[in-house]
Amino acid sequence: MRTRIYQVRTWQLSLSSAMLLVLCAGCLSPPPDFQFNWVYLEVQQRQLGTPEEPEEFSEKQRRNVAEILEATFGTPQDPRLPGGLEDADPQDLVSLYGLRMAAGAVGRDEVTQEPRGLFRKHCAHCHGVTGDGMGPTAGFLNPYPRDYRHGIYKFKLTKSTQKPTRSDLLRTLRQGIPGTAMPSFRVLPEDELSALVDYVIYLSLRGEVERELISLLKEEGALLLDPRDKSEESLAEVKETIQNVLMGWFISEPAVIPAPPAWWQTLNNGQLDYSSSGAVDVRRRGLALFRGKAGCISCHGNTALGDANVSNYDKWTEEMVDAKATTEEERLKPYRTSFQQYGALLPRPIRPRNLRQGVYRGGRRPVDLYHRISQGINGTPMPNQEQTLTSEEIWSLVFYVRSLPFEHASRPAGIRNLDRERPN
Amino acid sequence: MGRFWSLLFLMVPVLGVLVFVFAASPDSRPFLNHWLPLNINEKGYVIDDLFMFILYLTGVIFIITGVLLFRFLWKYDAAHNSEPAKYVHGNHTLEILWSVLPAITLLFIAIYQMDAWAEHKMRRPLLEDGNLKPALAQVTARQFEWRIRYAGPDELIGTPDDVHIVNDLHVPVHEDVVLQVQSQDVLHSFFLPNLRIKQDLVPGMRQFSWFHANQTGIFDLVCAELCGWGHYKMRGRLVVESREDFDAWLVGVAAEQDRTQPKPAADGEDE
Repeated sequence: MRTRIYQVRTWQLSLSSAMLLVLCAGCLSPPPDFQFNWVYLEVQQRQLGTPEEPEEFSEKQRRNVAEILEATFGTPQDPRLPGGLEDADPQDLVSLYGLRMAAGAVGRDEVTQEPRGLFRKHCAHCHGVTGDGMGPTAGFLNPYPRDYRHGIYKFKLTKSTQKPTRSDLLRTLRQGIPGTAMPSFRVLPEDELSALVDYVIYLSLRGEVERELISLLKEEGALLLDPRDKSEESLAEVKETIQNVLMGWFISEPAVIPAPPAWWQTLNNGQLDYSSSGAVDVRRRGLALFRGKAGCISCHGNTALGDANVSNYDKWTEEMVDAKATTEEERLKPYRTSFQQYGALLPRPIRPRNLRQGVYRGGRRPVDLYHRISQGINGTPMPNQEQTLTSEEIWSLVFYVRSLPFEHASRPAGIRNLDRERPN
Repeated sequence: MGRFWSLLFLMVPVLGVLVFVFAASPDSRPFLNHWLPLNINEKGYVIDDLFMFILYLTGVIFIITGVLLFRFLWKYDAAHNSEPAKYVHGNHTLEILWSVLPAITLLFIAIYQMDAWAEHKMRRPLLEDGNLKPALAQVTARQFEWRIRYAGPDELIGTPDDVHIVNDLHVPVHEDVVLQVQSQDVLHSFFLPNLRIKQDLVPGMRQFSWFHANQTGIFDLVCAELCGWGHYKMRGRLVVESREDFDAWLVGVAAEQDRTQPKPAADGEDE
């Protein structure tokens, strides 16, 4: 009898302790922290020495960068904005209220019941806590999620040299990016979307400052970066770096897009018919530009299927590959020997868009397509053609590109008589 | 086993019934809004009736089984019984009973539900000329959003005048609405709880869903099939509005889609 009771007790004890463990799961793990940009550190080391024998920075130098960053931008639980800058106040760009909503662990504020941890709830599993595009699900995606730390954004309506505006980022959140894993967050409340924009800009600022500080390490007397060194020279250097990054965000404004020519209104009035004689004329002009002056054919290919040049790398991966090498194996050698060990994702060449699918990552509106052609797409081989093409020519190209999904890909225009063609 | 265990097993039917009673009563916290959501589909009652019928049937059997289990555990507890156990094998009458009764019940449900199935999957609304009503829009599920493509003025999907939008499904009220639903990548399930519409989406299959909403408002559009890491964020909005509002909205979205100039900052944030 006694042993049986003892047995039951052990059984109950182990069950209840197992339940207790389940309840406490995650309690003891440390809060996530920003990851240091080891990849860029290695890039700089390879530049300072040679790719074969990189010159190593000291651990002290690396720690100095990390400490300055933490003092300036805080931690994922407690984000901070740089203060004491003369020319620009970061709070004009990023609201602290929004930062608090997006940062930290998922939940609600105990007093105000405002949401907390929005970034971790919606974004971090792909974009990573640091915004480095290396979250746990990132490796499964093609294309990979964006790494904000470069401060380069593809889909925006500002000049190609400028940062996106808040409304550009907001549009990406609302519309998602079709053709990629970025979904639409349209049903989130306005203030939550705005908080996420704040946080993305914050991560972008932090990441860019980190890159700038790391590249400063190469310069003479880089130990000036020591955060304990309160000399004016040292403080000024750090301050200037932060200020330069910040100023980039303040000057951006929408690029001027000339109004479309008269034929645009005529053709887009009422039922748009790509086989009408007026439309065929414009499409012919567009096709001639596509193959000639605008040079689209060199990447997007003869049939616009995006199959002509498929071995380019984009800005986010090119520092990890040897783009000049001839075989893929050799192109990936720097990644295999140096960058893979830091968890960087396998660099993949960027594919030119297949223009016959009718899927437009940066938006299908004429204004979006015009901007893509005129200003190019930042961080990709898609060039800025503002100077080489007239606005009339760009509008013809926009019209032509918009007509492509409705044309038989197997019998592309130009090979056959366009006048007899009907949209499928 | 001890009588403690028979009482523990009694908790199963008792708590099971309590959960349903609490969920069904209008304002019992923390079970608020855990009963069926508001039905706004003209033919939604067919699904609700079927659900309630099966719930009552299985509920009664659940309670009987639970109470019997408790009774036998209690009565034949080893500590309170000195009689040796008797082993019985084979009872023809009982075996026939417990095979035939469930078979009849299942057959009854199979026949009884046919009308509900036909209403939601087979009797697609017709036009006045007797042809099948064309789809108002094509809803494409992908990880993790709903891409919606309205047929536009020519009522054909796949033409240059289609209107594209994401996660925002607008439909007119008091009208038969047909939607073409499909998946672009993996299994999803198109779920409109308030319309009692749930359609699994298999990649490569083209399916149709239809309903007749009888109330305006904003409701949920969610995915009801675990489709990946971001399943929880696959959330859209169903807006049921009057025909005039719907037409005006569609014209507005189409105009936005043809925009050739950036939206002036004064007009609020760019969509």
